[in-house]
Amino acid sequence: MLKTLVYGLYPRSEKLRRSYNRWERGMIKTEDLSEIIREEKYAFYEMMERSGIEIYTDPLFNWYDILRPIVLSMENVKLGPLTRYLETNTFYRMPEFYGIPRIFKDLTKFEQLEENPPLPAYQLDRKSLLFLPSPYSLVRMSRLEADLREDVLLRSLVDEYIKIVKAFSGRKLVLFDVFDYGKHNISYLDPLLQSTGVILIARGIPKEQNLKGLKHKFEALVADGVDRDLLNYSDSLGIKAVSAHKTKIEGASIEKKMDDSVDLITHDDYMDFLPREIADIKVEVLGKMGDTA
Amino acid sequence: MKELITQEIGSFRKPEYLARDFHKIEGTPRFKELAEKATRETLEVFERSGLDNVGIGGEMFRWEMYEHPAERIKGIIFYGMVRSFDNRYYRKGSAIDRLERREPFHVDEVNFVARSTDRPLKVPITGPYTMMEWSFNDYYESREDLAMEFARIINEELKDIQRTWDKVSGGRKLEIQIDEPATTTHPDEMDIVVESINRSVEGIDGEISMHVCYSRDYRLLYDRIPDLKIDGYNLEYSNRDLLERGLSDEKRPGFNDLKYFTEINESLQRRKFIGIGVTDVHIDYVEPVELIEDRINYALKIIKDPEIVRINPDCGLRTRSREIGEQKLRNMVAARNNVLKNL
Repeated sequence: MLKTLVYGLYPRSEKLRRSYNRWERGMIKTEDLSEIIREEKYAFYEMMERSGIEIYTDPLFNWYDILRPIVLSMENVKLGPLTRYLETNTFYRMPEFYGIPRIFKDLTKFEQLEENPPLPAYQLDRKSLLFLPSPYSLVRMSRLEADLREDVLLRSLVDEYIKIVKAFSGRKLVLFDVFDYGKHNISYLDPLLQSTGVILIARGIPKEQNLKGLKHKFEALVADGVDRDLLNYSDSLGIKAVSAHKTKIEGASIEKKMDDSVDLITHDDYMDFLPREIADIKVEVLGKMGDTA
Repeated sequence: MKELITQEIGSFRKPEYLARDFHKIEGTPRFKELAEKATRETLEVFERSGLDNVGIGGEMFRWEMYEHPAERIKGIIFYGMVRSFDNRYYRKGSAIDRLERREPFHVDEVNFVARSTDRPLKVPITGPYTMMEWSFNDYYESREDLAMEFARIINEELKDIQRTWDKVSGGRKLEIQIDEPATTTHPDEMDIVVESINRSVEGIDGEISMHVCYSRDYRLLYDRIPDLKIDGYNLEYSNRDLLERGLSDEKRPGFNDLKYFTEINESLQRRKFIGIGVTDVHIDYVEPVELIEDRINYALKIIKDPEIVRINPDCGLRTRSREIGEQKLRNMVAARNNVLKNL
């Protein structure tokens, strides 16, 4: 048996897309949309349970992209132009930093935002986790419009992330990385690891130079391959077994290509790049993979 | 050769009577009737605006540039909608089997438009690289393989268009525009772009142009002009430009990279023409004639030869209302006429 994880923006249902269209045209109230989002989120949680997915985050149906509500809830950050997400045909609004970011909105309460559906940032059931883009990815996907030192900016984002975790009663967190670290060191995440359990979804396979200096361990570290040395920095390892960029459905039996240190399987990017119907099937398959491995 | 030819890029907003029921009636006699009516009305708009080349009458037979051909290809299926941004979604097809053209994409449209006007036409067709980039690849081994398969299919389509054109052209030359908005999205795949486009136009006897818009770096395209079997480029410039008047480099930032284009172009044995986008299709603001004149004059300061410069909007005008679209075209033609007077 392997644990299974579904994280990040999940594709909206047809009903939800249509509701958004009506809300954008002023045909339904923000409160009504918010209620539909809430219902859809709880339907998603039921689907996770039904499919045997053990770990899942909020599906973020009220996020327009993986950065937006967090950026809009911080001072000194604005939304810039639409920008391509990696090599996809999906776009996000590039954040522009004008100073040190500070959370100034209560992410737990209903509140209207400009250029995004309303808060709360997360509506959690008994088991669901928080999801955040890693500070490293957030900064790399942004433009610095002020004379800011990158290390200072990264540390300040960690401080703000700790506040977000506290606001949601110390709920565990999936931290998502869009880019390979190269020579970048992420030991500044240590205070965040101290504050809650963190599952890191990394690109490539992190190396010693990327992790050196971390005093606390990740709960799990999911990479594009298995390296047992990563166990120095994580209680367990995970692999990516399902593609979020192909509609072809993977076989339910997973090769035992990983060693015993692997106890978590998930997908290679957040699922929002797929049609909803396909994403739902892939979730079922992922659940079965976990059972049969 | 005529100087500063004015042209449309492709799409124009569909009248409500066609847009409302498009998907419900597509493929029926009623659809044919309404698409032809909308095409005639749009050709009237283009002719009234004074355009030299009236394109394909605003693409009234097509809902969207990807979906239209993809729906007519065996081996592609649609599972549902995929997000583009915010709550904007598009139907992204999946290549699940060997691709084969099920039926022609544009032959009926070319046939009808050619018989409906005696002005020059330009037939836009979505290019192989963009078709590949906007599809899920669940069948072919590589992105290159998929792009080359789309190229084979587009070449079949272009040959059918050529055969139709020979019957209805009335002596006009065949003009084809390969639409490739995805061209420069992966800098390390420019070889695939070049090879797939060249394969698409193999054996086609006509003037072939290429349309690219909203690239982050057009120099990637300019560098490959010597390798592409393309006669000219219709590109977007105004979206990157200022709305202030002026002829300096600072006032015309959107058009600065024409210098690099010209550097490459002047080194060729046979120079390419360049269609410059002089009106931004993403804003309702109708650029005044004087501003458009400045944009054309700035381009001519760099390119110098008005015979290889054409004048067009940045992209298809489908995102603007028909009224605003027409105003933008009218101002574009008026600006071109003023510039011609002073040449």
